Amino acid sequence: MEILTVKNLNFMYPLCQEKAVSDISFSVRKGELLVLCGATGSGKSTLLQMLKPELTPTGQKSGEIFLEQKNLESLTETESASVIGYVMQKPEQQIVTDKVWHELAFGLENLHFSQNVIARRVAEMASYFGIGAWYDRTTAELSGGQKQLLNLASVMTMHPKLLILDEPTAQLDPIAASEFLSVIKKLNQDLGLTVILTEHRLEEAIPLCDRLMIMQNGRILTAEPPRQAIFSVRNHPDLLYAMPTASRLFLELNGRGDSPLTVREGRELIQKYDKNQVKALPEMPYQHSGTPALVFQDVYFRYERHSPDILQGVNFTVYEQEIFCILGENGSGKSTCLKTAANLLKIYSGDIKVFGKKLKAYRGNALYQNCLAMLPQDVQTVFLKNTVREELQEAGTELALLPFDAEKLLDRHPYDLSGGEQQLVALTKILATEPKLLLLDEPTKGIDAAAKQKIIQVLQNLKKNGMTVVAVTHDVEFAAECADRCAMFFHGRMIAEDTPRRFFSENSFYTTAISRMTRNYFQNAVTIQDAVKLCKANQ
Amino acid sequence: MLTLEELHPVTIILYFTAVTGIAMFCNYPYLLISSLTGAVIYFIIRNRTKHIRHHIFSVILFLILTAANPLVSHNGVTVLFVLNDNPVTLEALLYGANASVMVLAVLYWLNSFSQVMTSEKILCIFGTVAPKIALLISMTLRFVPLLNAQSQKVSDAQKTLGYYQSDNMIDSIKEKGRVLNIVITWALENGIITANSMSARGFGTNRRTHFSIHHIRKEDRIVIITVMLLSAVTILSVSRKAVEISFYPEIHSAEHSALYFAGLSAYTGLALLPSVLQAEVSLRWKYLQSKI
Repeated sequence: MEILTVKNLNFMYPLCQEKAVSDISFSVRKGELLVLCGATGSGKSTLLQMLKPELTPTGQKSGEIFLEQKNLESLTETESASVIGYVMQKPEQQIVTDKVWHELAFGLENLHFSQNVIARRVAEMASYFGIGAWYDRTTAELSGGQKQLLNLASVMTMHPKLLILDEPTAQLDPIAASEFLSVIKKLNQDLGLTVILTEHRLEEAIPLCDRLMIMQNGRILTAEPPRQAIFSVRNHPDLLYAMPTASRLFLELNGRGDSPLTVREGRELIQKYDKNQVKALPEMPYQHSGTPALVFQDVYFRYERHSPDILQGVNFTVYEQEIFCILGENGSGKSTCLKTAANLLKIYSGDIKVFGKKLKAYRGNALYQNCLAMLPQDVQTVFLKNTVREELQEAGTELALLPFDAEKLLDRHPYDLSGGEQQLVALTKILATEPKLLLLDEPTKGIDAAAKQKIIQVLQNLKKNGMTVVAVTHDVEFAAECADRCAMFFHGRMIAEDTPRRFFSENSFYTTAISRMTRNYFQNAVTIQDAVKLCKANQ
Repeated sequence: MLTLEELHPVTIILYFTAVTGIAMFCNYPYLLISSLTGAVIYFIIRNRTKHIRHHIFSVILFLILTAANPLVSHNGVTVLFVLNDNPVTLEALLYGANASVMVLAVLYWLNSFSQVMTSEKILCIFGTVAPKIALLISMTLRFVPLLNAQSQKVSDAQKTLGYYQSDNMIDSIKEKGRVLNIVITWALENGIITANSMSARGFGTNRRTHFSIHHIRKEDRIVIITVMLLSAVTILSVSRKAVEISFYPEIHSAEHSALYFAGLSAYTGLALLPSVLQAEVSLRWKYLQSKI
């Protein structure tokens, strides 16, 4: 039984030459969990917005959409508000009111339900989602994960039949993201709720879904169960990067039949290659340069006089011309550590030295000129102008020397770019101050897999030209691919500094999917390339 | 019973309107003194030793207001001394003292009111009368901290870009201007998402209900009736001129009738009501604990 049927849907934005959505037909069964993926600009967000009449952008539209055999256009406003639930990417901006309980009630208030009905549904949802503990709090003080859960819960109070989620976990850290996805799966299982979900981070979303629909240039490339759908991205490298590690490894090894999706299934795949011929890759000893670029000596920091220490005696050294990744859980103090290095927060004890000089010795803004630059977590905060061109001209960047193709972006407003493009433009703007030490806070947050590869490339080029990079990140795959050395930040201290290969193969949970897949079979495989090499050697 | 701040917002508003309203329209010294006493006791019960500055400020304000009146008003028959050819009279001095007791009492009540009446309680009151305005206030309350946080972030990002000398005044003013500019753009940009999220959840399709987590309970009814009775008695005695005083030219108060005593004690009861509620609750806690 179909809940949603889309027939020959076309959409073109005003002033555009190409269709954003072109001749799309598909249907979704009741109770199905459909994951929609595609590169940035493939038209997946536009398609989702067209399924929710209130959000459909203005433009040329043709084709028909049926929800339970009823044309979407014939739904009343009240029906379409409650029947189709929609959760967007940014957790913060979707919240309307100042109190958690008021936010939960917001939709029901709009539909003019009575106090009793509202009270019951709000109570029910709050307990289902475990919101009871922060029911009375103000929405501003919630964490990103809690905010997104609240957005989901406040849509669920309206009892939707179809739930649409547009990259709901893009702004969340990995732990919050996988919690959020498991709630989605639970809703799907417990209530038989039909879900359409788009994601950048497909590692965990794909194993949950019944069907994977892949879009490219406004068209549907495939819509099949994930184990088969994977094969159709074989020749699309930018889509391939987004697929689960086990599937990518499977494709690299020219597998046939059903593709593995999870780490467990990946282990079964690896087991076939466990023939004890080659256990480990030869290790290249890493030699850092002799001159330190950033030194922390017993650094202590706290926000207020009576608050606990956030940094509790941090000690580490980053040498010139290396990429140093700091990993760690939320609230462990790693972002704070980066801010103290940029002198945005003042430490109360210890020493921070940048290129051999103490921070205090840099007068005025000498620290920020030809010396140190920091890319904040929210890259939008870097932009001040109305177009990318003005932005880069102000900073004094030579437009011809950009590390990426920016021609198409130059005349757009920085806020209108995709996450990955914003990251690159912000990085370029910051590089105009010609720093020698670059501090990055979560450089891969909210960007798609192709953009991530681009960033890795740019960073590696910068390093070749003499740059030192310190990146704080949650993204273990990113760290494994581009770092020279990694370290774990835990409980206000820096621990376990090592090369990524040693760092990740010694960690058992906080490590890459490949490392978890090859554990006990191979010794030091961390990235897909490592695993492919080892498997081929054992063939 | 419950303490005043745990009661329904309507009860809270009714209480504070009654207690400050009467104090503002009646200038009888004993009544004002009991009002001030009630207000100060309640304030101290709630805040303990915090807000010492507020008390110091009150004492200074009292002294200034008391001293100011006889310097500008020379009515009254009892001359204390002559200052620059102007008589300073006892009646004017007492009048000033009386007026400043009133000001202080009202200030203390308003201070407690603003602590007790949190934003969500104000919203609850508005919500029943004007749901749209209530929503607007709620959204504003949410937006202000958001804007502050964003401007701090933008300002940090700009600083690390090295555009500004940290010790240059003109630069820092320029920076503030640019930050404000972009934060407004950011707010508008966010506004679109918020507006989408609102319309996706059916905003504007129907008349809005206002959901509230407050309910009128038995305790509310008791307190409302008590407040109404006590203020009715006080207002009656004030309007019958049983509780009245005139300072000029000579201090003269009405005969002490039965209504006079009734009015004064009713108001004293009213002024002490929140402190009594508070004391009752904490005593009951102590009692319950002692039984464990």
